[in-house]
Amino acid sequence: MAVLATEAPEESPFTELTGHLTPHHYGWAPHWEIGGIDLSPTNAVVNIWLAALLCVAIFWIAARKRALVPQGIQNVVEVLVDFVKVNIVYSVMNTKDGRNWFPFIGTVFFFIFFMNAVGLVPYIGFTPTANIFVTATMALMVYLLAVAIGMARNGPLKFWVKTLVPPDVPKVMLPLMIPIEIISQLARPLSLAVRLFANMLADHLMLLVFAGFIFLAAGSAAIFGILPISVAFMVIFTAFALFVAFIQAVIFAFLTTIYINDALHPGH
Amino acid sequence: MSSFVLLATEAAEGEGGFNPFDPEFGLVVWTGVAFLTVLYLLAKKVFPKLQEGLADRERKIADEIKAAEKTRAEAEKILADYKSRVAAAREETTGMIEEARAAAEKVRQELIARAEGDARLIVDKARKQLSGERERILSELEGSLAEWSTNIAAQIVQKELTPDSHRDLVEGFIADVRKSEAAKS
Amino acid sequence: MSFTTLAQEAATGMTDKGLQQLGAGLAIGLAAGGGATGIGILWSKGLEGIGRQPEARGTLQGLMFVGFALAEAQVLYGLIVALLLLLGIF
Repeated sequence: MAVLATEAPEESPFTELTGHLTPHHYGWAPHWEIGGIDLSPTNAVVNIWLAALLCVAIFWIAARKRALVPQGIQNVVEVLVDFVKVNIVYSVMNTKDGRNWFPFIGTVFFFIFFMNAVGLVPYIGFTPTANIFVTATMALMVYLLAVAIGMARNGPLKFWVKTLVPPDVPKVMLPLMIPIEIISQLARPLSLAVRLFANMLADHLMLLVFAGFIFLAAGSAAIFGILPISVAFMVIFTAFALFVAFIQAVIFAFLTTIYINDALHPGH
Repeated sequence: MSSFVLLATEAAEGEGGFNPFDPEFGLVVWTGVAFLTVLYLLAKKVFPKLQEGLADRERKIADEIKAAEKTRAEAEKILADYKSRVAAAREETTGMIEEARAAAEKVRQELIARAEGDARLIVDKARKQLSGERERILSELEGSLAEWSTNIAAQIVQKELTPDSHRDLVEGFIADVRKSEAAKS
Repeated sequence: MSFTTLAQEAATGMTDKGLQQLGAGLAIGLAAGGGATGIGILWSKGLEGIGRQPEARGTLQGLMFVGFALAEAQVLYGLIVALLLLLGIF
């Protein structure tokens, strides 16, 4: 297999292509730095803004024009809102909690979904959720909120006792069970963050690997076989990536609902 | 494709290749800020409006359904009224027809009965007349037969018989005739 | 890394990098095998359930997709470990 001729021979095209999965600075953008933290608008930051903007804009449009029979974008948004309400919130919570928490869970769902999906926009797209720091921030915010709510509702001591001491377990087992419960609590934000990150990263890694095959084969006769196969695979996988973007947002929102419900009613 | 490569090289040069675990604390801040902003805007401004809109629509639909149900109930009431009226009219008509039929039947029965009575009367009268006539004829015959036979017998056996014994003989003969007549009828 | 250098290394013996790559391959390979088994069982049971109770199809399908995503995530944990090994972070 021939390596791309213009590049240094020890650099494989995969190394460069996968560079797309790391945020990079635009040449024209200003450099902002506060307290030693680089806040300049990299492509990841711009895509976070884009996701937030899309999230708000779509709902603004949907909520502004009220029609008896919804049409177009309003219909789509209402179907999605209804999906979140029925299949995620009310499938876990009771009606009273569901009504209180639906705005939060809805926001989590749509923000995550748009962050997952903006990466599929050609050229400007970068998936913010393919970065572990973005997903970890989301997961930690959700988890800490759940813990805070649980402590505020039940009192700190009662909350932690009810959460960490499983009911109906003989006292002899407690020294074994409590560490397990602590680990499972710690694993919650970690798994939430890593699951979303790994899924989004894997999709784009897959696309880039198949794009890399084209660069590898460039300049040799193998290109005629590799090119159509790679392109076909990338098209299929882009559709799959959209599906994964949706389902991972569902999973994230679903687990958020479960964690918050656990915090509201610990020890069940 | 060239711009793609260019972008790739730029990225590789700028950030030193692929490493998804590179610390990006700027992203932490931006994610937090963006999420909280979106949460504020959506939860405080948009979702209540959306819920309100949905509730509004639900109320509107419920109202319309209620109104439609009211109209339907009214229509059903009117329909029931009409139906009961039609049924009453039909019943009345049936009653009238029934009555008329019964009256006609009665008249027919009466006529038949009267005709039968008349006929029987006539037949009875005729029969009575006939039997009276027969009685009369028979009694007439009785008398004249005695005379005739006496006369005939006198003529035949004038010399041998006295009128008394003669009479006995004829009367015995008539009694025989009578008996045979009674047996015949 | 071209195939020729790989071949040279294979001829000369094991290197740290080679072991890392071997570990990465094993990590993602075993994770994918486990995940595939899990997803296979999940869908087979789910389809059985739908076959037995076609009216529960909607509910089951939703739950199957959730389970699918959760099982797939386990594979991707393997992918993360593979990447960590390949990049020499640990």
